[in-house]
Amino acid sequence: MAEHGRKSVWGYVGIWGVLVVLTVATWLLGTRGHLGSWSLPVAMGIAVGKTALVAMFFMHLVEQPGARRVVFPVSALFLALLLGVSLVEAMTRVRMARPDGPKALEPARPASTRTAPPGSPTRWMGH
Amino acid sequence: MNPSMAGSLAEPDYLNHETTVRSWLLTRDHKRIGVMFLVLVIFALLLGGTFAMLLRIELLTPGPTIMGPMTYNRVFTLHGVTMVWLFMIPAIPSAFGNFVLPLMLGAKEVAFPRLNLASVYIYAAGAALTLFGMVWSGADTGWTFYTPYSTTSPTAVTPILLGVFIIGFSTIITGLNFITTTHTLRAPGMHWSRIPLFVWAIYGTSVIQVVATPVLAMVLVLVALERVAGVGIFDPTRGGDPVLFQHMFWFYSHPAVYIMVLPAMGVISEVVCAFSRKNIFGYRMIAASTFGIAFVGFFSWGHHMFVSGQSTFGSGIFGVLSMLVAIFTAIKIFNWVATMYGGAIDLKVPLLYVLGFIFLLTFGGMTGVAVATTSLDVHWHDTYFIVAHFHYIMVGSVLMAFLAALHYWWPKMFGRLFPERWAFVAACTIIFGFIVTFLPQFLLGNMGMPRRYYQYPSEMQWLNVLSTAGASLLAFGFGLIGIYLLWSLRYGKVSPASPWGSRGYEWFSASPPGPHNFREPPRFEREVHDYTVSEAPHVY
Repeated sequence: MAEHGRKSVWGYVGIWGVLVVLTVATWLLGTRGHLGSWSLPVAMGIAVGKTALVAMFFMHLVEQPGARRVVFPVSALFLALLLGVSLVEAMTRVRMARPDGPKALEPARPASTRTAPPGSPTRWMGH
Repeated sequence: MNPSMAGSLAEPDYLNHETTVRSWLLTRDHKRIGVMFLVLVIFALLLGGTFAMLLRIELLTPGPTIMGPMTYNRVFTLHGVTMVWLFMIPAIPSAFGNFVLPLMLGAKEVAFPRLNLASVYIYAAGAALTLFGMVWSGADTGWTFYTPYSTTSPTAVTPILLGVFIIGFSTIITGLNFITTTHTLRAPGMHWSRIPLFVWAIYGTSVIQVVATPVLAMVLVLVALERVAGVGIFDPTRGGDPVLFQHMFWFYSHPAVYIMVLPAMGVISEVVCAFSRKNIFGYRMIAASTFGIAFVGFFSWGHHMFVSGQSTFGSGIFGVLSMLVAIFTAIKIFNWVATMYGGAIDLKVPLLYVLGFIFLLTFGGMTGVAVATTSLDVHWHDTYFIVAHFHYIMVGSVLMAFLAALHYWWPKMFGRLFPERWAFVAACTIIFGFIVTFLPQFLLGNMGMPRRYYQYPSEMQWLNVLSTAGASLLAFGFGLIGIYLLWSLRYGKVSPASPWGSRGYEWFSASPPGPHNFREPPRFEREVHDYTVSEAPHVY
């Protein structure tokens, strides 16, 4: 470690190497991962890890005293709160009845043939 | 030094050490910036109050009285936008926070004086753009700018959105300044456990301002983008979701209630100590409850959306979380009352406003627990019950604390005393007028009178007349305050350094303070509001 708690050049190169490995991992996940619906959460998790590494080492948060170091995770927490709670709310909404009557009794159609009428509140969710 | 002598010293103070217009416009003195903010927010209060009176006059009769329905829609929008964005959010933090916070910390200045000056001009520019939009063709969306109406309304929504967006930068800068000042510029002896509760309140508010305001900025820009560029974000016909707007808007705007109320609570904590001659009961619990409110406030935004189509699961969670706020608020109220209990009560005008605050906050808070119950809220939603509730909790408490602060710190800011008898009359008029204005609105809402309608059934008229009569009392009270405060600037008695006998740290400087706040670097050896010692505080 260099003075003032900073990492040496090789320390930064090592972190850069980890970032490259994580980037390649994301690429492999997209091309050969076959994780299905888990692909996006895993890719987002890797992205969050990379962001944390950049913030901690290249933005020197890790060298800061406690109060200043808390700023980043607190900001991330509030963003996660906004996105997480909004998504949970959207996913637990009661689906609106279609204007031409309830569709629940009909046999399910393939997703590609299902379209919501313009103006349907659930259209943005892809139903 | 004897505090009674300090006011008579002929040393230059921050008001008269330089008197040119340029010295005010380019000042980096936090006290002058606080005074500039005070003038601006009082102007906004005057404007918002005028719009409120127009609304109340219109509602004197069941049919059209002085305006048509479209004008009414615009006037209630003007009232809401002006009062919320231009007055209540900046009133206490930007005006009194700027003036008092560095004095309380024993600092010469705030951490970023140039940014502090910039925040005044950014606020003024945003306010000017907002007012321009209002004058140009108004807006009829209400202060909440709900989509999809706000994205399609033909009125001047875009400049008003941009104006509020710009004001947000002023809020963020002010918040950053206060957080940094509190961390870095405390005088010797000022441990974290000695920080005055007003500073804790401003600190908690600043955290909310910094964290939440960018979300508001984001959502306002998205609405403007949808209006101008037709991007489908909230409009369901373009694949958007109008409920998403409400999530993003209330993620900021619910904590914004605490941006307004927490500084008000900080004022109350200071004033109640000064006029009870006791240190605060439960200092740590009050400081902790400030952060409890700030934290839980971020988890309860969905209680504004119980009838928006939000999921039942979401509504249930938000309802329970909203009730938690009452616990932290109750902690404060019990501690203020316990502080007064057994104290040497000196019923001066600022304490009168504190009593008004406690009554209104308790009443508004209890109705808040009621409307956090989903089944009750469905009945009351968008009725005058909600109007009355948020006026009690938000407007009432902010106004009471603003007036308490204005009277408590008036001698500190301007070195003059106001006529107490007139101030007493005005305070009684305002507290009584406020109750008479908004109590009937609870009844009107429960009877089913919807908000934002300019006509109503004739059987509701007597309650509306009562409400308008109360508003007239409020207007009279404010007029009286304006007259005697302006009078006192020229003819009021010269104030001693600590006219109330307060032991708050800000009174350890002269009144009004010198340009650098203290003649010598202060050192705070005792607890804030320590009335156990007989001698007056040393004036630094």
